[in-house]
Amino acid sequence: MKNLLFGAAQIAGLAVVVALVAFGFRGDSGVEQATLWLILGLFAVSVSLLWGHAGLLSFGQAAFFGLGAFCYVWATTDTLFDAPIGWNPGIFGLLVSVLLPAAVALAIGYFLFYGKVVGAYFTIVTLALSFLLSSLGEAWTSVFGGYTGIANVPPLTVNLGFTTISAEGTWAGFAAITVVLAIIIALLRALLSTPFGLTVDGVCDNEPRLQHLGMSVVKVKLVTFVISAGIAGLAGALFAAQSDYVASDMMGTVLSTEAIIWVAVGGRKSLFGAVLGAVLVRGVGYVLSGIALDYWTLFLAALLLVLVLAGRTGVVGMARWLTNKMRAGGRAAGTPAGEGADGAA
Amino acid sequence: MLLETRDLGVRWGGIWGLHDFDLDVEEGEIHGFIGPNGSGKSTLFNLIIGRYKPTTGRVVFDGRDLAGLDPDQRARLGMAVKFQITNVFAGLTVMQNLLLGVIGPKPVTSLIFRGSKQKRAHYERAEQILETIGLQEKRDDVAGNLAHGEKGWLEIGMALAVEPKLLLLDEPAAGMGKEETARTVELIHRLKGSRTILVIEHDMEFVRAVAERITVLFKGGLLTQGTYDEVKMDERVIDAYLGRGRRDVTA
Amino acid sequence: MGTAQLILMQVLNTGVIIGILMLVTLGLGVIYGLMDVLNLAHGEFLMLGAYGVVVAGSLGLGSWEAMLVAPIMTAVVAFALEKGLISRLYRRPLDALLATWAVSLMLSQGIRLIFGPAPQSVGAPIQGAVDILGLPFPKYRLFVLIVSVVLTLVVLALFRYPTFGVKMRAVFQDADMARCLGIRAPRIYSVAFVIGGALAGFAGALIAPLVTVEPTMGAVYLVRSFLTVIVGGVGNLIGVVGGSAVIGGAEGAISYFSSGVWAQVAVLAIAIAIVRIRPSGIFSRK
Repeated sequence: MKNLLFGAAQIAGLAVVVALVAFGFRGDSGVEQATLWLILGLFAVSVSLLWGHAGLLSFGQAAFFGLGAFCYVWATTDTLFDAPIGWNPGIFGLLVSVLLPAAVALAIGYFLFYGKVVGAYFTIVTLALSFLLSSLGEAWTSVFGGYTGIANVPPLTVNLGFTTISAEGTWAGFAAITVVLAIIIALLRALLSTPFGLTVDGVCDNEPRLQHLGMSVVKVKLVTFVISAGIAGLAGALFAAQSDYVASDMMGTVLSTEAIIWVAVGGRKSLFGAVLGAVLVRGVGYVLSGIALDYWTLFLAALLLVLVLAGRTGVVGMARWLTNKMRAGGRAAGTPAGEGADGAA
Repeated sequence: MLLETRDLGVRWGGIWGLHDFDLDVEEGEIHGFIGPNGSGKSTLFNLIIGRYKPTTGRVVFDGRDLAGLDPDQRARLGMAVKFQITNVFAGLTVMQNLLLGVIGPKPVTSLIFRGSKQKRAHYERAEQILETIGLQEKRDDVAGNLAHGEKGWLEIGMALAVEPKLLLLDEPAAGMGKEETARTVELIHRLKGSRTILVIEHDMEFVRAVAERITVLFKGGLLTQGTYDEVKMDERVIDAYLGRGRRDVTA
Repeated sequence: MGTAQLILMQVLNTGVIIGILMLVTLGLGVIYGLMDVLNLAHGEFLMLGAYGVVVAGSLGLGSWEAMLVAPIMTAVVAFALEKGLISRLYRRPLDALLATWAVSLMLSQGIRLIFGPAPQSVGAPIQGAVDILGLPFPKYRLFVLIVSVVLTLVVLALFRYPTFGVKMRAVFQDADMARCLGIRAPRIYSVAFVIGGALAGFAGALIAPLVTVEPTMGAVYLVRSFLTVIVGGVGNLIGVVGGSAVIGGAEGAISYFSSGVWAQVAVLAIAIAIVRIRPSGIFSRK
């Protein structure tokens, strides 16, 4: 319990710091941007769960993010889904944005994992799928709004009868998102500290060994994949609600690989690190513009390259490694085997 | 009869890794497997645990034909394996390794909702095994940093955690010094009786110390079977080892 | 145009797709089969080839010279990449994926910085159309089709050629054994990688007049190529040819009936189905 509260507090703290810094730079609109970064941080968390913890590298996570965003739009503008009577359309939208991507992930995951499509093959298939989905999105204009996307997405409001909570205002939106983020992270930490969480580590470390111990590794991967897709979908919906806009390139490989960079920079296994990475990268990108922004992207790609070659786990990983070294002093504390993408040597 | 194989064989390209293999293992037995390199010992194990699919024949475990069953399904039926090349969760601690062995056969989704009482039960079980294999001091050490022999015992511990009816040990003393080997022999003796154990080994002294019955393999086929003394005297066995002597030096 | 001619045109266009796909995939497939490295920057070799033509053009070179210079430039980049990065990633497929993806980003971003995101236009060295069974078909397209098929056959023949080809196949089959026999595997890897890159670069130079030349043009070919390798089977070149025929053919055939995007969807579905049924690829020998 203490662990969960700590996780939530950590994130809330980060969020407040970021908002204040953004406010300092650009006032209210800075805070609005910072809120979006936090939402992207939630997306990064889903990538950290799938990749950092389960060892499944997917170049298509943004497909779930984008789907979630579109689900929210379809549900709140009564385009594809009609909210049941009496339901708050915003909440309904959020629900759909979690369930639909999760269902898609269940179908795809079932097909791929039971079909023993693993490792690099899995990654390539996710690349192809993601590519496809964004092309589809661009072509299917009536549903996905084509290249320009759909604007005027209704913001999130909850009507409690005697009062209405709205995430519309700058600081209200920020607060709402921070709360959601903290809750999700706390829940995930709880999940990862269950025996199930240990099996996820096991799948990443040595899948065949786990299989021979009687564990249905396919199920472990499937459950992780579905949960991760649901979280990504939720992030997408929140993004749509806060940014007032969705487009099919939200489902594409660009966002997927950006998220990989965020997680690599922040620390693959750390949920906090994932958010930190997203906020840092997007934050710097916000301050730069024009040519500098292009150079920033180039720099990030180079950074990813260096991180992969070095096998280190980003900011949080390095911080932990340093603190371990300092604490251990002379004692050989045994750092975990290098966390290159291939898992333990 | 806990384990039976009938006509078991596997072929890759033009070569039979194992052929016409008939085996009967009684419950509670400790059964040794010896033979020169490439005689098919590990292949036999891999066929039993489901890593390889047989080309001919079948494996029957506890009255059940194992055809088509995945390795994790077979493990849940009650078999566990320690591999020839030590195979542990190198990035996790010793305790976590054993815990994974304890929860291995459990249904996945149930593991999300384990209460604290059940979690404590897991820990206690893992502690018990930790004692059995003698690695209490290394509880929080990262498995990848253990000495070679310790990794071997850890893997045996993980195999025990599954609570198997059948335990398969592929060269449990490989790469061990005299002392470690003796400890391993002692460990296996302690496990005797409650389980059926299949052991592959090169070290003849080791096999003599642990096994009750021995099967000799040669070129993918069954050469002969019997007690250590019977097998030792068999002409064919001596020929098969081509005068390398009855006491083989471990790698 | 009558139906027969429409079909003929589609067949010829599909032939162009297949031909280019073969050139691009040869490099990718060989590297994957040899070193277990999936080079996600391979599409960028094609892109560099196309931009090589642009650069050559702006330096005053003619179209034909440009087409020869471009693959050389790409080969140089490939050489640098192999020495500096790829050689460290052998037998590390997941790390290789990420690292080469990072390189791919760097290359496309770099080109974007130099040339800007807007498409470049490249003129075809051969103008006009040729009459095939009453159908006017662009001469240059026909040229591309013929050249790509011929070049593929030449490369395949090279693999049969005593010294180099046999060495390559030996390393392919069993690198350790090959080393024992005195074959220097790293040298083979390097040569193979550079040839692969040059082929992709040449393909890029060939199609530069036919498609939109912009920094992210490599992605489509990358995806197609990977599907080809997966479907055709790793570890042999017949697989590359066969897989190209399947993937390119499917896309060509399906896009006759519906739009390009649906064709891509269908091709992906087919590829995944094939992988499920025969995980090591249609033409592999495993």
